[in-house]
Amino acid sequence: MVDWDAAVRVALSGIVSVFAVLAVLQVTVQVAGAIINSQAQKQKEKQKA
Amino acid sequence: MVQVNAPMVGKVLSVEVKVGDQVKKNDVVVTLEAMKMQIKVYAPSDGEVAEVNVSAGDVVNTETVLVALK
Amino acid sequence: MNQLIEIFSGVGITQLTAGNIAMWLIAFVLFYLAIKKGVEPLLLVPIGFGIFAANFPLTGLLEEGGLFYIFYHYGIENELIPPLIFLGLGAMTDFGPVIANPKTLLLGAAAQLGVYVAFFGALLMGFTISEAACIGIIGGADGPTSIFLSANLAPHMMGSVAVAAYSYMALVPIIIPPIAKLLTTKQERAMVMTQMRMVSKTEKIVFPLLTSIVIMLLVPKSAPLIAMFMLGNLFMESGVVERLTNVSRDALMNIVTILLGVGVGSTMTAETFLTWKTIGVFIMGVVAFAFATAGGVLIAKLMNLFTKNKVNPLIGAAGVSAVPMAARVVHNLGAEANPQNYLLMHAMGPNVAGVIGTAVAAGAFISAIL
Repeated sequence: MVDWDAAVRVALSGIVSVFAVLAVLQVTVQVAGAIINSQAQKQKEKQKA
Repeated sequence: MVQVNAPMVGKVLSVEVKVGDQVKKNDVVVTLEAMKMQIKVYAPSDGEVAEVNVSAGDVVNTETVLVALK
Repeated sequence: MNQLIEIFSGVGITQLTAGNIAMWLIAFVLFYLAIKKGVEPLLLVPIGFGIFAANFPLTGLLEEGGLFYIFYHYGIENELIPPLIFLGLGAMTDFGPVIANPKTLLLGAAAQLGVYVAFFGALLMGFTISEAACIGIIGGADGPTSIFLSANLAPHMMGSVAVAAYSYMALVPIIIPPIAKLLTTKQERAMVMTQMRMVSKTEKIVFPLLTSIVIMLLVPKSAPLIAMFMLGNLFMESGVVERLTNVSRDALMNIVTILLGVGVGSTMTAETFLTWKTIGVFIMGVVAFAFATAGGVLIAKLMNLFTKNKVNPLIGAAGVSAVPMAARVVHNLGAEANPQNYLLMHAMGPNVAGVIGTAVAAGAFISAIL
């Protein structure tokens, strides 16, 4: 017989980790993108000056 | 003047219009290839083709103006 | 007389079973699909031949030390080949659309809901937890990940899981449209998304490193797939190791595809494949795909309620990886509703995010079950 407790645990931990990991990744990518672009902007301004 | 940009990076397969042609909204103006798929670029409005800036084989990106309508 | 019998019992034909012949027929169906219909020929030809050749008696191909045993044992059971395929995939995947619009990562996660729906469906059909996990992962539409997970959790199911995953991937143009249309209005499908911003080279180089850090810290068991995926991507984006990029996505990829196909095919002997379980795998596989599509579309709509930069809900359906086929299907659906709608590049975001999502889901299954 299926151990439903274990099954629910497996599924929940899976769903939570998939969403949590990709959400964390989303934030990280967003922040990294912002930092990289502002740096690039500064470089450009420096070159102009 | 309406400029039609490439919607994505891709290669021009064929140009369906020439300068002076009358086009209607949703007529195909250029066919691109991207991700091994043919993408048809449609005219955004009615008008006359004023310039054609690309030819088959060109690689284009979103800043490329494919054709301009007036 | 006795000697004659001995000689004859060493000839294959006397030992051939009905099961063997049934498996040949299945192999011939796969050849037909691959050769005549063009269904995933790169995989189905080697898989089909693996099945065919594995179902001859007395060949010793599958015994310890036999050729197919070596392919299977060292290549697949030891988890060597699926990560190498990921290396090649990484070297041909452009993460630009994800970097330009990181929200699409959540859509890649959303499409994994199908994995869990099919997981419970399979449990109800009487599969064990490990088997159900492998069936569920079919919904991720990612062949190497499905094979990787079955090698870990349920090696006896690998053949049917792999064949189901690859066949349904080929059916993406048939499975996605009705579901995506059912869940969206024509107005929603017609929605044009704002032009994607340009992504700099630095961002593209940083992305594989960031992704490795985040995922390998949080779900260590997905490391074999993610590490190689990101290494391949770094090869490509760094631009300084063109030789390695090219060999990863061409020569190496082709070589390991042969070994993978034959190895997976060889697991499908009459005893393991001709069971009711195989039918269950195919039924739940299509359920997994359907709910993955639905999950992606619905979460995209949910996301639109909270954000101001809205997405066309269709691109959620591209979270069913099957790169880049799902994205193409989504593009066509969008163009059908509004010819001025070019969704292809927007759909590539959830599409490649779905690959990451499926690898994470596989890692989570392994750590929760083993």
